Amino acid sequence: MSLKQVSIFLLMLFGVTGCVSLATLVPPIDSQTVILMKAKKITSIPTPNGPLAVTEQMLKNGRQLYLRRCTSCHTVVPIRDHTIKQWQNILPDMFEEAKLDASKQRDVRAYVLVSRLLLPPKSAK
Amino acid sequence: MKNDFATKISLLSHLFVVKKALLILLLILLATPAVQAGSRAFAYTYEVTTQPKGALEYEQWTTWKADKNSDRSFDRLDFRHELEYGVTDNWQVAFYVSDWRYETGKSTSTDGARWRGMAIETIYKLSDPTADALGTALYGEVKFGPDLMALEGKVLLQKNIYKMIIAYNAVIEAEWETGDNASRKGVLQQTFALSYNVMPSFSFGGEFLHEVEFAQWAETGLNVLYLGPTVSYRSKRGWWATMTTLWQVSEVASEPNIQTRLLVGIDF
Repeated sequence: MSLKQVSIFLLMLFGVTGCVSLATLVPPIDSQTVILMKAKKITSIPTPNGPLAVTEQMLKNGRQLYLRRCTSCHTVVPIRDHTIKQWQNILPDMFEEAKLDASKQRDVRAYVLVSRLLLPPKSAK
Repeated sequence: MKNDFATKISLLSHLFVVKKALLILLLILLATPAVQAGSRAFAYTYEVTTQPKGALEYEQWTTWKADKNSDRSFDRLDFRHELEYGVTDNWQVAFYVSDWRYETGKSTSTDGARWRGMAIETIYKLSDPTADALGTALYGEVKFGPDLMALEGKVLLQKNIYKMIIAYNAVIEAEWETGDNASRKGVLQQTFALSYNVMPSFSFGGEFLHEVEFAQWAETGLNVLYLGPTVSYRSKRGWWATMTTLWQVSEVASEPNIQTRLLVGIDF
């Protein structure tokens, strides 16, 4: 493979990757989120210790932690890539790897699960 | 002709030994118990991301350099045993417990194993490569040994775009050697790296390295350029491995034509 072919491949890869916005992968928390939560009647999320009431601040903190801490080991994983059930299995392992304390775990869990609940369910393949 | 053939056979046998050693190392690591994980996508280029607060990691570095145009018999293995610790979420310190090397060849001062020294390193993350427009960090290192003293500073830049990591390092190093090879020199280096995260545990890409030395901080040396592929694997069992092989794309006879670096990290 020549240097020219490698360059073309890398530019194509960069083009495809660069087209995906961060907001699509990791939805932001804004007034629209709060409206959607009310419309879908989402006030709490399931946790190992029972339902947990969520706040807007908790979700904002959770998103920042998701972007800053979870991407230390790997690139960003789109929220839509897993179902609620899959996320509930994945999160405990990731919390351990990222060394998140209990309050940070709570915020990330709230953000991931609420964001996933607000997205359309994964279509069956 | 005969010499060329002998050199190729020698290189192939070295490659076989290195491959075998790497395979054994990976088999040992596969058998290690479950622990925590952090990782690096590149072997030569540093990333902006640091260890999380309270995280401790052991990193084993192995760098193999060989085949100079001016010395076909040249062979060098550098080993580094490093401990990294996250002081805060943005500040990491590291201690190179030991740097040592094994080398042979006509251009080496002494054949065999030699302890080089130890070092202290620190990285401070200023901005995040995913959450912010550009990830930035500052790196500082002090290395000292029986015949060596070196200071190194780096500016680390990184941007993560979805599954792609793009990183750039600008490096300046001042080195003082005493003893038989007494010298004083400066080194300017820059590295550029790109990697694609195929899945959370596996990424591949390439690295580019450019280096120029200044003997006595006066004479400008030749530009040495290297280019090659990199692969990285992060296990769910708490270890990771990253390997880059670089080929010299410039024609500096006194520098190795090939170098390979394997990093293995085990988190506690």
